[in-house]
Amino acid sequence: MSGAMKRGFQRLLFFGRELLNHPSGLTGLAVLMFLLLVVILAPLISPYDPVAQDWSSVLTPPSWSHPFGTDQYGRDVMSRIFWGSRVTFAGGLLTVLIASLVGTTLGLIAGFYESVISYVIMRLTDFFLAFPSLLLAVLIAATIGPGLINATLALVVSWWPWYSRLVYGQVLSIKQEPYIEAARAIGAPSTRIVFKHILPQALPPVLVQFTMDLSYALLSMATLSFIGLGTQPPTPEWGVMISEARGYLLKGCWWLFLWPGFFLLLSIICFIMLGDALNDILNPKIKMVMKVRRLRF
Amino acid sequence: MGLARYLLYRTLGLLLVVLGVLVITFVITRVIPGDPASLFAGPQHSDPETLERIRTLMGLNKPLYQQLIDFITAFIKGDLGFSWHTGRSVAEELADRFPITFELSMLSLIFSITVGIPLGIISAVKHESSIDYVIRTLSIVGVGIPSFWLGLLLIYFFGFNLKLLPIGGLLTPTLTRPPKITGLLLLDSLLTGKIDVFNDVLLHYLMPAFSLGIGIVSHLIRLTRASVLEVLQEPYVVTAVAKGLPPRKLLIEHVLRNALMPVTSWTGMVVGYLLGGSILIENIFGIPGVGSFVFESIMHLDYAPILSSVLLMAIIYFTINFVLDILYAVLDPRVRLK
Repeated sequence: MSGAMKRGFQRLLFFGRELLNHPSGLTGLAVLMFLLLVVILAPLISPYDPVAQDWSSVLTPPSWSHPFGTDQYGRDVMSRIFWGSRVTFAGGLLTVLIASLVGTTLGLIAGFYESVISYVIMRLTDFFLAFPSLLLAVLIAATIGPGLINATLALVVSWWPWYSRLVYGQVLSIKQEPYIEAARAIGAPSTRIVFKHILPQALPPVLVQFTMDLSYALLSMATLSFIGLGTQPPTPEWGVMISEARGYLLKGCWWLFLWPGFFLLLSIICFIMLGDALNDILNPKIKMVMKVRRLRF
Repeated sequence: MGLARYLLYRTLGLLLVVLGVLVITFVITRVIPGDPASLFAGPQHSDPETLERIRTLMGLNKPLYQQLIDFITAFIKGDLGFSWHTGRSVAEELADRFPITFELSMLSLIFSITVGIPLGIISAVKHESSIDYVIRTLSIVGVGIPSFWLGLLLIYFFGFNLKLLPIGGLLTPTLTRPPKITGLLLLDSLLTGKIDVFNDVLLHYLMPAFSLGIGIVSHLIRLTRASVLEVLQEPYVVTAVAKGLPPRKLLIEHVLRNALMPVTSWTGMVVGYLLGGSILIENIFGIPGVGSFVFESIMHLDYAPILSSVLLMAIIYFTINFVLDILYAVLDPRVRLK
């Protein structure tokens, strides 16, 4: 086993051990694993075809044959939830992955080379940060047209600056560390300093942000779909399902909007709990807080 | 840096940001789409004649830099384009709708602050107790809950099932709208002395303001809790406890004063959240504000209103953040020293 792999493995072990002592983080992770299984196994565990219409059982409440009920076209809601998890998760994950990759790279460049490039990148970051992100995403998605890929793109454009600013700040402070100067003194090339010494130190807060952002990404993705700018019907997606259910709300068809919202909420909460846990593990400063005495009144 | 210089510095910064955002918006809306004219015309009006007219009207035949200058001057002059799905100018629509969005946002904000901050303080002071766990759990659910879904849940339970609250709109049709003074329905009905209208409107605002505010309440709880906990471990708090200062006095004079500063700076973000959320909530509850205008325009692919409304919301957002930053600098001189 090479050194880097061994270190990585040890780090993972450390995370695992710490997470075991963190009940809410562990719960979040466990439920997410379960949801991930649903995402992967959707074609196997879905009882029906998610887009197959069945006019003999339209708008039926939950029953043994349709545990989550059926919608206005007689489509099985449970199968649509399972298949929809794929769309929502894929969109959310892709958004955060690309945004963090772009943002981190730009932040690294801006932080490492303090020059005109750095100035340009950071001013651009400021302009994009100044825009409320959902509004910017709505504007972009409305311009380039609705659809899953376009919605992802719109969210990426409004999210990368969070990462570039985070990483920029990290790099600036890490650069002051003596070991960076030491690496410079022994003549290490810039690329080695960036990838070997700066990046690994800058990553932990990015990881926390990444996990937290997954929750917001799922929410934003569903929101865009709900407004009609994301995934288009008849593709099953949680936001689309909630939007379609609106027309049947006052007919008492609660099962149409309850399930997609419930699963969306569940996934979001789990990502938040996991993000909080990672934050606790990576920022031991918070742990001290636990020792503060309670004020008595 | 003195306060005057700080003000000047920040004002220049604000102008730069507004200009930058106008340029970015211009690039997004005029340069990226292949044919901006057909985008603005919408699907129903895509005959070549109309497109050509729109091209001359929007100045799409001119060089790009000239278009940019025209775009910015038109916006400054208040020429926000025409909404073909309502048949009125966007500026007129926004003038009618903005007070309603403002009123709804204010109600949500008041709700959030009066509930969120006290709960956050209780949660921090009684941390690791059962109250703390309950509040923390609720706040995580509140942060995660999709506001539009919550709105539908509320409509289903309180409007459809229990028939306790009105499911949409702002006013029961049997009542007449108060004469327009400020455009704010609640204020106008009070000013004209129509208490029944006031009560009715307030009842209509309850569920929307709650759905819009719950995310902010939860964020505020989390922020306040973290901030108060951080201050609680400061040496001066330990000293004050050691000196035997009564807890209530300690909390109010030493802890909250210092802990709530970072929380106030977050209020700026709230505005962005409220404006974005209004797109969803106003539509769900059928409230004729700016948010539902954006939503309907998206549904009709009516492009000019989307662009202008979003741009206007962004500018409101900058301005409020700007004012807050200044207030912050006045309250805490350390901020301007940086």
